[in-house]
Amino acid sequence: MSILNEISELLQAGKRKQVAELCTQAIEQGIPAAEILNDGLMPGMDVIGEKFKEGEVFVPQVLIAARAMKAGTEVLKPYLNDSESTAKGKLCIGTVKGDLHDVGKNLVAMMMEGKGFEVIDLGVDVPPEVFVQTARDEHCDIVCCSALLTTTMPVMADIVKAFEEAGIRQDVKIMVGGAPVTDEFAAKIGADAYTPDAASAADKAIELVSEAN
Amino acid sequence: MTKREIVLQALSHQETPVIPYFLDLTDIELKKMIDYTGDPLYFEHSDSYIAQERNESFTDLEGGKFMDMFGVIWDKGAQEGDFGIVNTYPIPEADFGDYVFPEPDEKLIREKCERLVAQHDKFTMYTIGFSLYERAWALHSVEESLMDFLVEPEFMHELLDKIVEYNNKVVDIVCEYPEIDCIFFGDDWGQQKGLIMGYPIWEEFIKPRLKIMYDHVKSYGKFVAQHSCGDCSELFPDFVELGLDIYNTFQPEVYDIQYFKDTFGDKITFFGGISTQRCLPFMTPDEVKAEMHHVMDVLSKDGGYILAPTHAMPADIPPENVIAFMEVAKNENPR
Ligand code: B12
Repeated sequence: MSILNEISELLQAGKRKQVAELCTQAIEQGIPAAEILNDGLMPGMDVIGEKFKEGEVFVPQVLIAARAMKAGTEVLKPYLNDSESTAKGKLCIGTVKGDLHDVGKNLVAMMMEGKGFEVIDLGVDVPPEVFVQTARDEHCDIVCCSALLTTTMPVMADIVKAFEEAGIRQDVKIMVGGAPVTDEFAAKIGADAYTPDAASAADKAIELVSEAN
Repeated sequence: MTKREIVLQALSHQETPVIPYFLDLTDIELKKMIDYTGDPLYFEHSDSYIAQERNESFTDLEGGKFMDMFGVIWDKGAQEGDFGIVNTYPIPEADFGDYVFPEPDEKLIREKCERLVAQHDKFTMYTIGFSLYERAWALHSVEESLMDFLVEPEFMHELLDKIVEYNNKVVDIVCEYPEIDCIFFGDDWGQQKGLIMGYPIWEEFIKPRLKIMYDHVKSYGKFVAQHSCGDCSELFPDFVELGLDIYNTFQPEVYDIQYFKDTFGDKITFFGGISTQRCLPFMTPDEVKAEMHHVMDVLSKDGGYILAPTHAMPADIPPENVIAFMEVAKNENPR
């Protein structure tokens, strides 16, 4: 097995120490950091994302794989020069104001990172202004909003409005999700996309940025 | 028949003259109803068939922070809901360090039991919320706990064993009271679709401990109820095997309620069923009533149903819909 395949396999098993070790080895062997990322770590995360979507693995397996991915990228970071590390795109993500559920939001963030996005995590209980400000200051391509409560879903409509009022609605794609959110709701409030799970959210994000380019 | 006798009849899977019900409200929604109706005893006047007391207790640390009896500090802030998020985890690493597990506060538990005894014309439930997985994550964080099921399984087994030990001591005290009918365990395992931890982990870590807790309660001749939000459909065969009497929430947006009634309804009593996700916040009062009658028709055949919202009603439910809920429960029951 090539070292990159091995990295992918170990990542899928969530072996963060071994992933980090093998990334160091791969660097020592002269493999470019971007190749290790694109052909080792990311495909591993893809497999886990796919299996999660199919219900073959569950949140714990995704969490340990994402943690291993992080350990690997930490090793690679100093070797990735700017042009190589140009991310697929940049996004900010948060759980909306009044809502404190963060497990799903964190999974979406991890999957997005796994697909090569640069992710700014705004945490929980995030007011619309903060989404707008971050998207503007950080030039985000995508804004991801998570809500798990019917009482906080309306905040998502406020967020779409806040982007309109700030005059930057056309500059970003807004994605929404969380247990009670539906396709119809997303359409009703004028969001760009909804997906039921984190792996399809990452696929959708890729689609959205390639449409935009 | 007393309210308690009607619930007992429903639990023995016999048709009842009325469907027993429980009005379950979050603190904020209750306050809203009190303001709306001008009745400070709005909850008491609901005449629910069930009386509940919660084991959890909190010390107010001020500034929106509360400490529970396990030393977990919760940040309630200005958010919607009753408990907020954890501010400080007492066991952040997979290592107990100098953490000491609490002993049940016997005096406080007996006070709560006395309150239930005073209402024993109703079916009395002593609730141990955050009873297993949730207690583990309140101490050790959601993500660390989920990961440690896989990477530090011994630690997780030990952590859960300590929690069971605590619960069983609480049960020992509560079950001294003949007037208390049921121990109600709360623990959220479900997400909108499927289990957060997945079935294999549930089967290895949670199920054997439910058996210990349920058997302990049953050894006193009491009923066992279990609450879990979300989709636990794959657990029903295990619930039957474990001898569970009552399953709570039963979200109709998650379950095919007819199928579950037909398949498990002779063993398990469903407690909940009126959606706080799709029905109560959004429908008109007439639609709420129609939806309630539909759920009641399906679930109350041969008893085995306690009418209730799928969750303590949150603050986005219009007062008119709470009133519609009560009208059906009180006056259109049977229709
Ligand atoms: C765990 C949990 C909690 C924990 C949260 C811990 C934490 N750190 O997050 C605690 C106990 C603190 C909690 C508190 C409350 N909760 Co809660 N909670 C849940 C539960 C059981 C699971 C949520 C979860 O973690 N799921 C696992 C993750 C992986 O799934 P997920 O979040 O859905 O995310 C996936 C997708 O939705 C999607 N996704 C998520 N975000 C995004 C974003 C984008 C952009 C996209 C594309 C996709 C996407 O991808 C994710 C991964 O695949 C749900 C049940 C349910 N049906 O979901 C109730 C639930 C959400 N809670 C509920 C309630 C009512 C509450 C409280 C109000 C209870 C109370 N009385 O205090 C409080 C509110 C606190 C607050 N202000 O937020 C209700 C909401 C009902 C309603 N009407 O809206 C639910 C639905 C349960 C029910 N009975 O109906 N809760």
